[in-house]
Amino acid sequence: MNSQESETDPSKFAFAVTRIATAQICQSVGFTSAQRSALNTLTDVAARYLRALAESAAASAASSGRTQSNLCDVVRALEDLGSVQGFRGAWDVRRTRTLLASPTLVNLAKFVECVDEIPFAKPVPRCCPPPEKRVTTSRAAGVSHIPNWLPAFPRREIINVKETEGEVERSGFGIELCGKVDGGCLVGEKMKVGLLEKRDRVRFKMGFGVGRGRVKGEVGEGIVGVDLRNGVCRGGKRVSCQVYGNVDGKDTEDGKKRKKSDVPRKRRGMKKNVVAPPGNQDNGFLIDHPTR
Amino acid sequence: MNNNQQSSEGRHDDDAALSEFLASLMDYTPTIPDELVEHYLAKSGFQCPDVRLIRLVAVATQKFIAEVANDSLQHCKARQASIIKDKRDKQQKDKRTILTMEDLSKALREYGVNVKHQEYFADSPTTGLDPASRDE
Repeated sequence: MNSQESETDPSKFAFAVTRIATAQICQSVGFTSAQRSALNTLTDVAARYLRALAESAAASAASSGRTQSNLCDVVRALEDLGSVQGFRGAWDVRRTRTLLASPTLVNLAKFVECVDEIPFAKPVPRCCPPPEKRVTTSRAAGVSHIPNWLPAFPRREIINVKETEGEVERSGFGIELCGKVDGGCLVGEKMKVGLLEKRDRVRFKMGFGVGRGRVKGEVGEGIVGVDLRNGVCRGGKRVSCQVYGNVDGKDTEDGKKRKKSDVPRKRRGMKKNVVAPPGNQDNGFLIDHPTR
Repeated sequence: MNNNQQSSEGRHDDDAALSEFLASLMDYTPTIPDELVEHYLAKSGFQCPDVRLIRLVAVATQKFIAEVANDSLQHCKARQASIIKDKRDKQQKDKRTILTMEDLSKALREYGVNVKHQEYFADSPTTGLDPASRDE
């Protein structure tokens, strides 16, 4: 994709063509060869000159209330760009002579007469206009009261898909916090944020001592479980945050290593716990989150 | 009155010369192709269906570039002429003129373009060498 873009990049192509033209001009002047950097610089100057000329002429046309530029605009632009060098008659600000009799134009005519005609080395393919994009307007969709220039409505399938996605998002989005007890220490907590597969009930379970370790009956010492419970409970639907401080750093690392492999089992364990009545859990809490 | 008549006559001459010049542009093929000029013009918001104006812009650009190139050629020749005699003898063999950054930046400075190039930027292994001693 990238290489294709660089190949078909119009500005690079234009630069390459300009470079050939510039090289031809240099050759006609009498140079036999050129440094690459010098030629590139001269090419850049040529392109900038062209664009400056065009911009100046376009601005001049716009200031006289026209969209199309004419000869006078071009001559004005030429004089503007030639004012660095100076030209005969530049003093004549009040234009006692007509603009069309400008010395710059006369110089150009002389140049055309004197200099041999050197056509470009190769015929340049004219860029074909891009294929017209078929825009389905609102009229095409069969709705007559909406103006024609407005874009069409999105297709019905797209809307449907988006709606269902939104539902999934609403029901499935959540933070899964899995506590894990390792040697008595609650070490890992896994946060999973994102779209989950669609299911009927989503349960969030957080807490100290609710993990797999508790099922095994290992309740350890040396844990500082800071139960902040400052979660935002909007209508009892979402609980967001719970932080557990851990004293033992070594245990944490160990737990992190095991964490990945333990995820499926842990979930199973959690389900077991969820099924159990909440009264059994001493330091945790359980929230049922039924889908609407 | 008399003066006015003269100026109007002169105007007629100018107009005739101008229309002749513009008509000659129809047959003239500038080195910068029309398509390229149209591309740049369209990019800058210049709208004109007249081919002669596009040719005029092309000719103007060509003239500008030719002038810059000519100036740098003069700089190049002046530099070569100032080389001491014994070196020049060797140089007589190859009368190559190379467009270098040095001459170009000197020429462009007169046109209001300040080119700043790296002093020791070597775009080829022989860049730093004297042009005369390159072939040795």
